[in-house]
Amino acid sequence: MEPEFVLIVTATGPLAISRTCTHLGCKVSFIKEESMFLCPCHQSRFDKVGKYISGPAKKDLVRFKVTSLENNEGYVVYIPR
Amino acid sequence: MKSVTYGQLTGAFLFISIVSGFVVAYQYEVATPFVSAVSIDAILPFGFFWRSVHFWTSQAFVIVLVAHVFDLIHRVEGAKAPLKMKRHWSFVLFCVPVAIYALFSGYVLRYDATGQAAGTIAEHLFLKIPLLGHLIDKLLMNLSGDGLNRLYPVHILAGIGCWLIGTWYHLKRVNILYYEAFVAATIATILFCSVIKAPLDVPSINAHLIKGPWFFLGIQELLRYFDPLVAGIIFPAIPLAVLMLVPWIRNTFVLYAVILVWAFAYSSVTVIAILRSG
Repeated sequence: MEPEFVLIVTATGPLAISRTCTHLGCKVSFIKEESMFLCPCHQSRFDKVGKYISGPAKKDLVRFKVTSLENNEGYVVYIPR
Repeated sequence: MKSVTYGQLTGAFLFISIVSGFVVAYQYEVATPFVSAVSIDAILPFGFFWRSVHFWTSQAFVIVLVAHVFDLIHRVEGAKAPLKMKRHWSFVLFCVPVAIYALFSGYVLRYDATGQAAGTIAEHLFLKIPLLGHLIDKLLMNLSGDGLNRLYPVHILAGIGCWLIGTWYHLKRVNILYYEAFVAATIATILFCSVIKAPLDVPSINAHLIKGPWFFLGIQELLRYFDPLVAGIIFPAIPLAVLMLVPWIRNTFVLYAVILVWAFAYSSVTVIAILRSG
């Protein structure tokens, strides 16, 4: 987990999910026990791949483009500015 | 000893807040805000005391300012009140939102868990204002583009602005350097702040619940249910708009009823927010 995103490696490849809540921009937390993202400000909830579940946010978390480096040396996450 | 009024206490607490703000500012580094706040408390001799003085006198200033407004509102009511006083009322009343913004920006500037979340939410609320949202954000906040570099001078200017508007209006009318009020406010501040520290919420990368400043809790709760423009901008602006109308509307009963209903509604959602655990 990074300040800006959470990187999840799935069977189909890596996913970089933005931690910025789509409601009012608070940083969402990842709740391991429930496998979901939670916004600490207004309690919007998102599933483990960032899909909206409940709360005032209404939209899914943004996904950033991510690529794998050669020889499994890591990942590059592209954050638009 | 003469009785001390809300107005005199307002001036006294603002004066102490500004002086203590300068003391704290010498040690505050806008590039590392949270570390600065922790350092002031932990390392600086009497640092916790000065930060506590700045924090609590700023709270006291806003509270007694609101009490001062309601204490004197009857003077601008009705047809007998001088026209000049009515005009001044609607202008000087701007001190209230400026004071609240000064207080709010102080929370953001310490950049702890509460400050970070409150600042982010406030910036998004500014951006929801139709047409002028981006301009207002650029002028007053711009956290995402400029960190705290914009907010810091705005915080200082807001405090000084309150002082200037307050002294401009009162200078020829009342004695603003009221000795008893300053002594009472200073003694209360020294006693209180020697014991009670200013709060600081350590940021966590995985927080489950963050609560905003006490006066922002009602808005935070309303933002769960309503559109941000309604919950975060229009609803909080209602009492200010109504107070500005008081000198100009004959039937003030309706206006006071609106303020009373608003205060009850806001207090209720604030209590819900305080009790909330998730």
